[in-house]
Amino acid sequence: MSTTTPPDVQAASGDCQAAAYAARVDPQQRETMLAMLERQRPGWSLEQYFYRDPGVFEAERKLWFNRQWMTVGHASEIPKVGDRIVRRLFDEEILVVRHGEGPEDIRAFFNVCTHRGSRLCTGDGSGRLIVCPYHAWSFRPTGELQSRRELPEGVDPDTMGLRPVGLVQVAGVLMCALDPQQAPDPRPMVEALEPMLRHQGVDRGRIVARRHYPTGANWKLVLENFFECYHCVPAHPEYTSVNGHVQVSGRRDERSAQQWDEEFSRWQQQVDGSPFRQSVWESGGLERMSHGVHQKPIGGGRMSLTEDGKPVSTLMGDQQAFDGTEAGFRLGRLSFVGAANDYATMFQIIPRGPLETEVVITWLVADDAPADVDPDRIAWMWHVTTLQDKRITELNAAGVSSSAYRPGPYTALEDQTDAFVQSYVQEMTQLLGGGSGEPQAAGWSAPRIGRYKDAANADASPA
Amino acid sequence: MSVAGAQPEVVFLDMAGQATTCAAAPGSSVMQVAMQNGVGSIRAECGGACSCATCHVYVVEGMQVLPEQSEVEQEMLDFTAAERRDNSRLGCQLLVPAEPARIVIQVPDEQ
Repeated sequence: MSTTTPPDVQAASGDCQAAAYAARVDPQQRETMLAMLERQRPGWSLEQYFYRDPGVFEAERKLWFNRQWMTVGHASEIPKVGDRIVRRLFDEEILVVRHGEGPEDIRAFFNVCTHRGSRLCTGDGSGRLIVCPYHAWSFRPTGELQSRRELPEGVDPDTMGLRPVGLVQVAGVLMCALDPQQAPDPRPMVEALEPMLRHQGVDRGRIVARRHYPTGANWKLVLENFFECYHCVPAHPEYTSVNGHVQVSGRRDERSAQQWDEEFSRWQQQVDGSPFRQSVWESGGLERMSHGVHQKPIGGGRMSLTEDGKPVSTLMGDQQAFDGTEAGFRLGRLSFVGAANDYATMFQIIPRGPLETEVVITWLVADDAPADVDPDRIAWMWHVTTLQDKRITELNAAGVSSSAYRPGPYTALEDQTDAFVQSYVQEMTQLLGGGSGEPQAAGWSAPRIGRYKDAANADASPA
Repeated sequence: MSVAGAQPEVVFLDMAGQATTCAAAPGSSVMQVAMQNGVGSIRAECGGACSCATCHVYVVEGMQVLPEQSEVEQEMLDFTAAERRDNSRLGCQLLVPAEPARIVIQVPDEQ
């Protein structure tokens, strides 16, 4: 792991800080939003206001987005010293640059020249220096100002380096935060997940496909959909046909629960004792980075998340045999990694505006997998499913915009969605300086693995 | 192509030794001559401000008629993509002299 501003990324806590941040938001907006948050009914969806209002999005941008760690790419995208990629991080454009040969030698900066503010790079590229196209100020890949052409007397070039963005790597997944001082400490997430991500070979992955799914809906609707599988049976026939867990995450009947139970037990016996087949959960909050991994069998004797259940590539990482596992990782609030034995999928949920969210999916195989692996077969399930998610989420957003919309109740199969919304309400209330200012004990609940009869042990995988 | 001796000329060699001879207007830089004639890998990202190191060349002949290296150029040569050698220079800093001269430049494959 590496951070550009270690080791004090742990945000100072307390009311003072919350108040200082809350002051960024217009007082009128703040008051309205706090009143709306206060009347939010637990267990019910949010009011229209939260899904549409530009002022809400602005408050989220100022108070919430800047403290989130968010996946921006994969280390394999910048293999050589001087390689750089230009990415959006919420409403900012950033550069992620490799400055050395070591695995940790990657930094991220705002794509803004410290001279007069020009954009530095217009696209991904490579070079020993980053040269501004305006007045040719140049910067080393470490961020320091290199060219001092005509720099006025008295200006210290050492103070004119590129402005850093927080960066943390977890098994090759590059995550950034606009305000790492405010973002939660990512180290517990890295320590907990890195061994399992490495076991899955995510660190030694090669990108075979990346697709963008711009979705005309508020980011919270996109996440709410991502966190439940109640919609899987009606909306995702392909996903339902290949994922055994839908037997409990998508419906509630005794017989299919029993089937899943047996499936799950068989898988548990097969992977018995492996330290890389454990599940981990940290619900997280403003001070603790949300993370987790949830491992389960794909089901039905399927070895990979593919149309025919057969592998589409070679084993990734340190896995020794196909065991039909799917490991679902949560990295903060807006980033996910799903890993079958032979391919991994990185998900980015990127808020773009009150009514606009971009979903980006990147598929990885082992870096030494054959050159002729078929990206369409690898991408099949999540591509089909995400196109369907785009459609149903946009229909959701359209209906939520109606004067007839009222918040509706979450079912037991939507408990993860409910937990997300509750976390949102708590965190925004706290960030706006409302409520008691004390973080509440109840956070985002752990996903349930196994059977719905046992509340602490039933499945609710993102779909 | 110019008649040798009548005006300065710059001979560009690629790393395989293939030569291209170009007439050079006095006062223009080796980088400009290369760009005007579409020679080699030179990128000249900063346009000749001595701040990008993407016009790196090896001077094979004619070093004595070329301007001396400035401190800034010396620093910038730490950032060349290809190996830095004793005869490494930045093409933008190599102004062609007014009097007839023959300058031989090797252009690395990488900038």
